[in-house]
Amino acid sequence: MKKLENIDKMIGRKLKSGVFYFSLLLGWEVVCRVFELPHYLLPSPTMIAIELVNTFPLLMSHAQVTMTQVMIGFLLAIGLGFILSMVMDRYQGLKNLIYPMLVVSQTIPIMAIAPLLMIWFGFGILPKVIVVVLVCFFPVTVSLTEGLSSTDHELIDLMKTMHATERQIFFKCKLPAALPSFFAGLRIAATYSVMGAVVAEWVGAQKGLGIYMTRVMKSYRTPALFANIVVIVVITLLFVLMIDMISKKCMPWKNNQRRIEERG
Amino acid sequence: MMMERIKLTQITKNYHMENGRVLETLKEINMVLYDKEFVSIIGPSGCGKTTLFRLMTGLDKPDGGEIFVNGQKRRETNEKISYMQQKDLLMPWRTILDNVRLPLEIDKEANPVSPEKMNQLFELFGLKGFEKAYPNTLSGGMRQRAALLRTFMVDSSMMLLDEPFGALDGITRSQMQQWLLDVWQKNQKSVFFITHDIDEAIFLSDRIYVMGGRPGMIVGEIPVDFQRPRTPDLMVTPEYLSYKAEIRNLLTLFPITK
Ligand SMILES: Nc1ncnc2c1ncn2[C@@H]1O[C@H](COP(=O)(O)OP(=O)(O)O)[C@@H](O)[C@H]1O
Ligand SMILES: [Mg+2]
Repeated sequence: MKKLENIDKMIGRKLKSGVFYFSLLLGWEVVCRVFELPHYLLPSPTMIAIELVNTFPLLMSHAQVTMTQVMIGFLLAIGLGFILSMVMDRYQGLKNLIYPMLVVSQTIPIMAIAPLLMIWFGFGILPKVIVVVLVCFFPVTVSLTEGLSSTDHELIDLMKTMHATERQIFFKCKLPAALPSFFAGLRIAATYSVMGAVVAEWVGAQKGLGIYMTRVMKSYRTPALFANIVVIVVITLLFVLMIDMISKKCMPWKNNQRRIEERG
Repeated sequence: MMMERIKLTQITKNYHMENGRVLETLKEINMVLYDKEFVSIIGPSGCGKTTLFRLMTGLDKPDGGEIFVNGQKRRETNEKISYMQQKDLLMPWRTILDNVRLPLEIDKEANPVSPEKMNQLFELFGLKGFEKAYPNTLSGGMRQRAALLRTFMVDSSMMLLDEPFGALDGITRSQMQQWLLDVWQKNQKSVFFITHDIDEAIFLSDRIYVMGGRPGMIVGEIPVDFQRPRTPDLMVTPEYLSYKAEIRNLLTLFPITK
C-alpha cells in the first residue's frame, strides 16, 4: 500500500514538472508567432525541432568527433588524477606542496589557453583532448584526494591492529571510502568535459560541435545554433546519467537504506 | 601461577595538545590480565580507558613504563591483540559477511574458517540470514554483534572490548551481556572489557579495575567471586550489593577534576 502511494506521488511530481516545462515551451512558441520575431533573433521551438530533424545526421557526425575527444580526455584525466591522488595520499609532504598549486591552476581561464594550445599542437585532436584533460583533472583529483583523506582514522587503526599492510589499508579501506566523493567529482568533470571540448573547438578545428557552432553563427543560422545547443545539452545529460549508473553499480550499499528492525 | 597475557608496569602517558599544553592522561598504571580471564576496567568518561587499549595494541606509545604481551615487551614484539573500538566501525561498502571476514582476508596465514563454521558463528551471534545485508540496514544491536564477531575472527587469544554495549538500551544490553558470557565461555579468550556501567562490570568479570582522577590512575582492584555460569539472579544477592557499593564509593572518591 505504502509503496503504491509513493509511486503515485512520484508520478504526480513528474507530471507537474512536465506540465511546467511544456507550458514554458508553449509560451516561447506563442511569443515568437505573435510578435513575428525574425528567425535569426529568436527561432521558435518548432523551428528548432525541424532544424534538428533535418540536420540530425550532420549534427551527429560533429558530435561523434567532439565526444571522441571528450572520452579520451576524460579517461586520461581519471588516470592522471588517480595516480596523483595516490601519490599525494602516500606522501603527505608532497601533497602540501602540490595541492595549493592545483587550486591556483583553476583560475587560469580555458579560453585563454585554448589558442595557445592550438599554436603549439595544431588543429588536430590533441589540443582539444588537452583542454578536456585540464578541465576534468581538477575535479577528479580533488574529489579523490578529499575522499581518501576523509577515511575514518579509527578504521585505519583497527586495520593496523589486524596487521594490515599499507597496500591493504589503501585498497580495502581508503579507496572504497573515497568512492562517493570520487563519483561526485566525476559528475562535475563530465559536465565540464563536453563544454571544454566545445570551447577548444571554437578556436579552430576540422570537425566537431564547437566548430559547427562558429560556422552557423557566422551565417546567422540561429535555428541551427539552437539545434546545436540542444545536442550539447542532451549529450551532457546522457553522460552524467551514465556516470550515475556506473556509480550505482560500484556502490551497491548506497542503494538500500532500508533498516531491518531487530526481531526478538 | 597463571600465565600473564598482558601486563602494564608503571605506565605513564601524556598527550601533547595543539596549544602546546601537555595533558597528563595516565599515571603509573599497573595492571595485568591472566590467561582466560575476564577483567573489566571501569571509570568515568575521560579517565584514559581508551588510551590504555591504544597502548596495549601498540597504536600509541607510552611515555613511561613497560607493556608486556605474552611475556615480551610491546615495543619489541609484533603480537596481535584483537581490539573492538567504541564505534562499531563496520565498513558500509561491505556486506556483514565480508565485514566479519575482514581479519581473515588481511591475515592470509590465519587459520581458515570453513563456511560451515562461519554459518555456526552467524547462528551463535544472532546474525543468521543477514550475511548479505549491508551494515546500514541493520539495527544497533546487530551491528554491535557483527563488530564483535569480527573481533572474534582476529587470530588472537586476547581481546580488548571498549564499551561494546555503551550505545545500546537497557534490555538489549542485558541480553547482549548474557550472550557475551556464553560466547566467551565457549571460546576461552582473555578479555579486557571497558565499561562505565557498574552492574555490567560485576556481572561479567573475574576482576575489576576501578579508574579515576586526572591523570587517570587505578584507584581499586576488586576480585569478583561469583561462580560461573552466571545468571542475572545474582544481582539481588547481598554480596553483589556490597561489590556495587564498594565500586560506587571508589568512583565518587576519585572524581575527574577539570
Ligand atoms: N589523540 C589525543 N590527543 C590529545 N588528547 C587525547 C587524545 N586521545 C585522548 N585524549 C585525551 O585523553 C583523555 C583520556 O581519553 P580516553 O582514553 O579516550 O578516555 P576514556 O576512554 O576513559 O573516556 C581525554 O581527556 C582525552 O581528551
Ligand atoms: Mg573511551
